[in-house]
Amino acid sequence: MNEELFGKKKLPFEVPENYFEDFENKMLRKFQSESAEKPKEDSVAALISVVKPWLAMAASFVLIALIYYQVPDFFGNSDEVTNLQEVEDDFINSLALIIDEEEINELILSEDSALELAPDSILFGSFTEEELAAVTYFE
Amino acid sequence: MQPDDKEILHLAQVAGKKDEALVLLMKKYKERLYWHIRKMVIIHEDADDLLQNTFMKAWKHIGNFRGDASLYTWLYRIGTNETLNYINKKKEGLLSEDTDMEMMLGNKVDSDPLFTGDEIQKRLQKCLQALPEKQRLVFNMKYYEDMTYEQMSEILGTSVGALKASYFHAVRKIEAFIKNEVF
Repeated sequence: MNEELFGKKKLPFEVPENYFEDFENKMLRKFQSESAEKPKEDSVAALISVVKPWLAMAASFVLIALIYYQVPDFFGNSDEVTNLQEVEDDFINSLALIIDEEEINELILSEDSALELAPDSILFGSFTEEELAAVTYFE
Repeated sequence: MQPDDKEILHLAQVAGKKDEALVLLMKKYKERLYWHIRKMVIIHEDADDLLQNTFMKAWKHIGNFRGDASLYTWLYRIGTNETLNYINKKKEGLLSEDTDMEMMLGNKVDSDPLFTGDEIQKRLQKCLQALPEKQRLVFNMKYYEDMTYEQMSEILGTSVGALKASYFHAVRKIEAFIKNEVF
């Protein structure tokens, strides 16, 4: 087939002497050196495969924490703060409604009270003079 | 007598016998594969590297070989892919140097100390280097290796019709080169 035009079918190349004879031995040495390297790679790969899920979990926690602190509005943190302030104010206002000033004064002046007040204390400011005279203690 | 492919494959799957199986495989196919690669890359050192890579890949993956194709087809496919990848990489490298791959391979035919052919054979080799890789591959497999289109189709993963067309184009181009004394 086309040999007249294309020349002989035999390939016009040669190989260096003993190339094919030595080929298997050369490859066997390569296989053995590859086998010797393999366990090293395997141990590294095994370590990575053990550590990998833990690293992934730690990374995901860090990521969640970062997102949580970087985007507080998204989680409604500011709402919580304002809510807390409102609750506190409400509590103080309701206390003021329940306990009136006189009751506080009575509490202070009760016999069991360890607190001793000087007659000119500003805490007596809302007392009348008579009341003040009545409670003034003279030794 | 050459061992059967099935025996080689069976041996490769026995623990500790892989190297032995590969030696049998190399004894059986190394020469055919070498010439298949050498025709594509011309230079012996390149063909040697690619043949070593081919058997190294076979050694690594023979454990996963399913036996859907014959061992021979599988090896040829590895060798062909290695060779085409090498040629493409070399072409990319040459592009940056503004050198022509076909010209370079043609010059290699002239200067190769291991080239022993006559003038007609030399001219044919130079014409072949001017063809696209796939056409050159198909021409080599058909003309030099006497492969059937069905075998080539299995190795190259191309339809028989496309291979016939490639071979036809390759022959026409080579004829034209020779008649017009391009090389």
